[in-house]
Amino acid sequence: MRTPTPSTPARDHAALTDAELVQRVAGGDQRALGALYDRQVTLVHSLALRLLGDADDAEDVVEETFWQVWRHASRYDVSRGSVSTWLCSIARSRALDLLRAARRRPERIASAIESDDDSALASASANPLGGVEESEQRALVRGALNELPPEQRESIELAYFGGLSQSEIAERTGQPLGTIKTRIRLAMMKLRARLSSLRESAT
Amino acid sequence: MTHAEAQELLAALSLDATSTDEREAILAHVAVCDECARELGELRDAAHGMAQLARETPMDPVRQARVRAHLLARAADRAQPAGAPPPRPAAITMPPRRLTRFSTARFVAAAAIVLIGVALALYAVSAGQRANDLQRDTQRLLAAQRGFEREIAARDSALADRQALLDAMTGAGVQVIEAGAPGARKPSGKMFWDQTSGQWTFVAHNLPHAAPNRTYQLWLITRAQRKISAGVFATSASGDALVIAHYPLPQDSLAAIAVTDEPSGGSPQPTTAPVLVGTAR
Repeated sequence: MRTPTPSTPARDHAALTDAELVQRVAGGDQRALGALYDRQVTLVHSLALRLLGDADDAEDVVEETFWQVWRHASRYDVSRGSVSTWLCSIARSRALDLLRAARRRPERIASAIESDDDSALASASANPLGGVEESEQRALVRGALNELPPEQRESIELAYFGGLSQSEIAERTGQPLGTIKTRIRLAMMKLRARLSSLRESAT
Repeated sequence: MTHAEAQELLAALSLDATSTDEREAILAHVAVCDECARELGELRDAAHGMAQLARETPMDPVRQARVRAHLLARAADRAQPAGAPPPRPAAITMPPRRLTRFSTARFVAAAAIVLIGVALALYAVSAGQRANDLQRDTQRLLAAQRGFEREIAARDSALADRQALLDAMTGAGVQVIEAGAPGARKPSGKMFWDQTSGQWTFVAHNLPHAAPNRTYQLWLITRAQRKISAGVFATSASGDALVIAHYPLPQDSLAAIAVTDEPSGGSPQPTTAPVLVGTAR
């Protein structure tokens, strides 16, 4: 049955958490989908644009990400990560599919890494309804990454933003594969531990 | 794969940086190892935290409104009953977008495929390349062909959507409501209400940017003074905006449309004086 689709930001939608909105989406609530879109579209778009460097491709990824949310909302498990983590996971996966299909990755990797911008910390939040929280998250991640040795940080950024495998990173940086594996493992362990510690001290 | 081997590779898996074989082996272990499953979850959270580092780039308002409208229309077409299992996975369906030189693009795409194929065949024969080289090139060609096919499908879809938009704005049953405001920049808006399909297409010009943490919200006001939100929107750099919504309303029940300035995310009811108002015929 087709139900009215104008975005009617009812009071209850505005007050719901992201996880609660996803729960409603799983029940077929189209307005909840609209509310989640309004709340998270900038985060998803920013990541897609960073990965792809093309506004049209980023637009495709944004729509496909929220379409997957509509179709698979019931699969979301709050115990396995935040909604924004889930959205980023979907968006990054779609973006990397596009990059690999179009074989544009080599030209985009440099820009993906070089476009890293400290001013992002000072900008407004990606989430208009959760500005402080998003800014804090950004600061936490930035702080944790800044504590990593540069070569470790480079390895995980090439993997995350460039979509490169460990072997491809080794080839690109001219380092032995074993070295890259060690750098990635150490970097992610430190990042996880540091973020966990920073989050605990922030609460 | 042993527990120790899986532990060594969990970090790489959280970044999708393993080989396909490694990935399958680790996931098989994770499926039966609670410790590794928990650790992988935490590492993925940390990995996707890196998304926060992407320079914040809000979507162009017109694109954002277009994607929203298209997304909700798709959702309405494939409404999922509460508690229903998720639909089957499907191929990526790309949204419609710009429409330029459609027939030329189709011709160029087909010609490119043919030319690349001929070039590849000559190359393979004359150079006597090994079979695995040919296979690799063929796979690349097939990938390129899939890309062309997807682009053609997207353009077909864009053409259909563009036609539908034109119908919604120019059809016999369309009522047009103009909205204006005094002032130097003279913000203005025009609503195209397709009473047959229940589609509302609103176009605005010269609207100043909403303040931080504020947004514009479009309202349908009935003769009974019921105020129905038709969506929130932002403006482009030039102050333009496009909002598309679907809502069935009886023909004689609309009194006016209005645009108000509201907190981000919108309000259940207008909280400020309208910046644009239009009276229905």
